Amino acid sequence: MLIGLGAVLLAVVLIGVRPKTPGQFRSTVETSVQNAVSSVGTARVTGQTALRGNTFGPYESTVLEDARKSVATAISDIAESSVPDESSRDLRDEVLPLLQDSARLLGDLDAGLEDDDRAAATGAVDGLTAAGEKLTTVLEGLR
Amino acid sequence: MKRFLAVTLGILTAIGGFVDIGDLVANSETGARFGMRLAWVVVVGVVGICLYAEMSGRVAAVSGRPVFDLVRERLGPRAALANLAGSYLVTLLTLSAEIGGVALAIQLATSVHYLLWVPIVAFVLWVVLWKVKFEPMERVFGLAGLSLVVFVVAFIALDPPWGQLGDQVTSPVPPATEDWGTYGFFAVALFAAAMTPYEVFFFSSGGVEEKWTRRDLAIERVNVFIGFPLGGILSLAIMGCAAVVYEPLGAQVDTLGQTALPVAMTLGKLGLVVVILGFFAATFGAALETGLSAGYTVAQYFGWQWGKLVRPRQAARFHTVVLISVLLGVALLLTTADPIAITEYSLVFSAVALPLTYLPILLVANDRDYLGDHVNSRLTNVLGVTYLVIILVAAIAAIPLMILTGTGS
Repeated sequence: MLIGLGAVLLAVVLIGVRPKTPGQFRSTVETSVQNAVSSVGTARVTGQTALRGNTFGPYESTVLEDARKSVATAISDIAESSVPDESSRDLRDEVLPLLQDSARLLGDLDAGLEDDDRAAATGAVDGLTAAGEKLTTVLEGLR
Repeated sequence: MKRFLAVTLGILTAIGGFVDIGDLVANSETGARFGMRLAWVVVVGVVGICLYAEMSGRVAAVSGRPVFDLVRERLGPRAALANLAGSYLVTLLTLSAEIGGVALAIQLATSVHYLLWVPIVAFVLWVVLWKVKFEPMERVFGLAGLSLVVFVVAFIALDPPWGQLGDQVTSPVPPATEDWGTYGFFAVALFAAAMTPYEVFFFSSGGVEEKWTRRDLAIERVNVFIGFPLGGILSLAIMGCAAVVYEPLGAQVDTLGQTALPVAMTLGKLGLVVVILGFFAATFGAALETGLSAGYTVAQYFGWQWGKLVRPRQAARFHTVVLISVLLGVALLLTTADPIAITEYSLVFSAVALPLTYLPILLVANDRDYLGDHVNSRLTNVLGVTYLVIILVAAIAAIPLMILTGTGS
């Protein structure tokens, strides 16, 4: 009984610590990029709505904070994953800069709206539009 | 005039009370990912809840006793204990999700982190459950929940592509970006959101609290058959808003802020204020209902004095169960478990517990000892059994689909 339980626990631990296969790494990246597409798209629409004067501060900062957290999680999920092969490394190197750029733009949008700096907020919305398109292209390639 | 007012208020309360955190989350997520391709599930769910809420309301009105009380008497303590365990745990999970939903709604209005609001919300909830009488409590939050009608206005103001949405409604298959597994998972979640077990416990116990008699059967039926379907329209409007705004972006919805965004886009700040008020009222109202339902199920099983018709001192054990349930719900949230994730899990486990809730109701509603001539008609039984089969399929499929799809992710 105890030996069986030990074997099961050992199997669980080994499954948990074994390196990722290329397929699993790709799946992690796909999930992360999907989350980033959602966050960037939501932030862009929120920014446009805010620039038209249709939202208020606490709502904007809550939505943008959720978006920032989601992109930060996407970045850490990829950065913390072991890279199983060369093609996975290329994929990581393609995706991580896009995610980091998105995180920066989300911060810029939040700061622009908070400081009532329309030019900065508009620039961040435009940047998020471009970042969203690039992320969507990557996502379509991963599917 | 008084009767007309009672009917109108009842209908409005049913509409406002139909939507809770589960409906807000499930409809919004589904609209973003599947457009209106799962709208049929809302219709199936609304017909199901109408069918069984009418049965449980009729049982309460004719026998003067709530369903859970009769379940123990009719099926015996062992079978009723299984029913109690399943229903109580799901109700507890739902209560936690609703308290989290209230805190998230307040965060949208204040930007103060929701975890700081959770203990305050729980305290206010407990005070309302302790102090406020049943009818004003039900009416105030049910009517305030009506402000979610703003989703219907926003949906129309979005000028949706009617033809495209119509095509989605009539082609119930997953879009190219999704597979049958996630389609099935969200179908089960939506169905469970419409048929959450606490709704029938609350409805039948509420009937006893409001002292329904056979003469109130007509009012009860009007409330159910008009109020719940109109509540279903709110659900479809939430789904439609998400479908129009998020599906073209390829974005998924997993926050309450995202659910509100289509309203802000079309109706501006005023719309945003109204929708946040609606979130607050719907989730707080549902937290009251689930808190009471937790007390109802346990107290009715053990035969304790229960309800808000008597002073708290006379129903001390009932109020203790309510208080402990609220504290357990808060404890779960304070582990920093995401309220939206709790909602998703509560929907899955609701689906699993559905047969435990609805089979006994069907049995009791056919018992002439309790209902005399008011037992189910043949048509009601055919529909009831058909729905039991659907419920059983959803219950069996829920956990495997959750594991296979990684909770729909």
